Amino acid sequence: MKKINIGKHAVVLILIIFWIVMYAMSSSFRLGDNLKSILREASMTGIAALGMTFIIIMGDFDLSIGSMVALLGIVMAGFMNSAGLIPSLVIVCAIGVVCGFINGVIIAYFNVPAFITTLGTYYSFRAMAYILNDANTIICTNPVFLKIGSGSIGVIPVPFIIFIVLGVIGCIVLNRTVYGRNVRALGNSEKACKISGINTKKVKMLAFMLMGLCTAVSTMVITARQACASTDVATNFHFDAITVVVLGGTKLTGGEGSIFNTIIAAILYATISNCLNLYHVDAKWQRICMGLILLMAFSFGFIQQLIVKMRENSQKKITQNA
Amino acid sequence: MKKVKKILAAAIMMIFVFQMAACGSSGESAENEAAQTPEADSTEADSAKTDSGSESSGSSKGIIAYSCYNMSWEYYVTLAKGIKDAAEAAGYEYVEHDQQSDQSIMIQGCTDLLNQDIACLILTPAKPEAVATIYETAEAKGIPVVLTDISTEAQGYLACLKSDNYEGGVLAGNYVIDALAESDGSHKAAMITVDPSNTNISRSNGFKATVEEAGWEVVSELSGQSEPDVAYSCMQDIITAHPDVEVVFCSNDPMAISASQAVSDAGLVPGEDVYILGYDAQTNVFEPIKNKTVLGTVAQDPYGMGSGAVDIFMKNLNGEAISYDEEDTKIIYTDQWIIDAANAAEYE
Repeated sequence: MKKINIGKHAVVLILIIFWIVMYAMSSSFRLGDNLKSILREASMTGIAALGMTFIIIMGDFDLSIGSMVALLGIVMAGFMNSAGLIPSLVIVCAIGVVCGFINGVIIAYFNVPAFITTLGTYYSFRAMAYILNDANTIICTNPVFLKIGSGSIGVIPVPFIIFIVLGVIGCIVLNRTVYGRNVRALGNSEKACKISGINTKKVKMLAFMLMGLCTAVSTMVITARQACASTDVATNFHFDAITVVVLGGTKLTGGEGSIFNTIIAAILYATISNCLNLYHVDAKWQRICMGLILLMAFSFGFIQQLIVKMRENSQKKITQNA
Repeated sequence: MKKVKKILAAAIMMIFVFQMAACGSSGESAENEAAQTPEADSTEADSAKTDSGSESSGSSKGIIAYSCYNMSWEYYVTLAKGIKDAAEAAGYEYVEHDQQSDQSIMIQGCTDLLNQDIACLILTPAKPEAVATIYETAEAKGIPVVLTDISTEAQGYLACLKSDNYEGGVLAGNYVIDALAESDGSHKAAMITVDPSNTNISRSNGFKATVEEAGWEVVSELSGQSEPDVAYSCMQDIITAHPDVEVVFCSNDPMAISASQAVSDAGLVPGEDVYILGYDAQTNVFEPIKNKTVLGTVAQDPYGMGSGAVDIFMKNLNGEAISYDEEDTKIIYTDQWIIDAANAAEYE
């Protein structure tokens, strides 16, 4: 039987403990509606975080996704009123891929660092949304569309179903396909990849297009949840997504990471902010908490190494004593 | 693998233990309440008690929650204080939530509040268009929603308490006409506005319509985007283009203060050559008003808005009829008045 490394899945353990404690402590937390609301919130950042996992495993990151959500939302809501539901969803996916393609081409073929490229598109995507719509808000009334955000099948919210389906697909792509292996290899060493004949530019570009697609799906859920599309939506979205991915144990230096952990981390992140709300923690303190969580997630790898080292030392001592 | 099994077993055990502890303590706390000894020693019992407090008649009748646009603005802090005082006077517990001007935080926070079985949600929406889902949740749970300061197009609220911004503009206009009736100035007015929103458009329109009716001319209308530094450069532009402008109406106080600075930096005397009016009556505008560098400001009543919202909820609870100023939109207008050098000390 395959040995499961607990250190790698620490986030799962944290989530389980956190849920148990909260489940026992707060009767508001126990309510079905509250748990549903957590899963719903987790899906919004989670879906984007799936794409972000690929990018971060490659050793890059994408700052433009919040602005992309604003742009895609405006386009989608605009088309929905004239073209109907299904065409507008297809269009928004296509434009999401195009936005990712723009990022990808600039990064891979013009050799601009991802940080600079996506910072540039971070400004321009939102500006385009403003230009397209004059900073107005478009209200969405299509009842079927609104179900994407607030409906549920049985007891499971629709966004969470979308999230899990995409998560499974992402998992398969990352772990079972040549492309996924190339992405991980690229994060380990770009030079080695080039030498072994992998088209690194194409791999990079595709990852950003995948990110665009995930952002498009995220946009659907967010817009449906808010029942309107506006230009000033999701201003901190990229930070949320990056936090979730890092919380899931994916290394910012690239090469290592798992979609499953990202999913769990998204739920954990949503749970934490839900609990801060349940205990009516002041907004400024909430931000401090979120900052601390991010810092803890970053230093997690270091703590893990420390534990491993300590364990080795103690084992050495035991053998010495023996 | 063994280790994983162990951990799983421990986790399941913990669930049972906590569950039993929670059940046991809530039973205990019920007994405690019956015996009039509200102290409970364990944290679980504490939380169980506050949670069950909404159903049983404990120390509090329930929770009145306020979800605020942005708690770093003085205006909303005053509004929240109005709600808090009124809620506590009525025997309710008060909690607040800060949307930090973000619509996603607004929806998430309000949903979390509604999931806790609060008695009433008082809301100042950061994004009025995105409130529809909140109404839906509130309706499903039977929790009344009272809006303060900002109204929404979607229905689903009990009442909306806000200032009549058009009337506020009219108030400012009439004040200017009266105050400067004797002057032999140019009778030219300019306006520095905030971000385009319904609130602001009615404010500006009210002022404009009033002064134009009295024979004044509005020569310039620039957006200061709510920002003092933008207002400063707007004021410079106005003076350059119309050196004889007599009155400038700013849609908020910080912009009025910095416009007055721009006037004196341009070599004119604010309060003699150019008269400046603000809006909102924030604390830092009182000093300039006393110095007469700002002529006056339109005061709104955020405290009254807050306490009024709680009153509306109580009236509804007791089955009393609520009288609206506008029946179809359920709007109730709160008071506004002019603060100038004569009465500044009174309201500071």
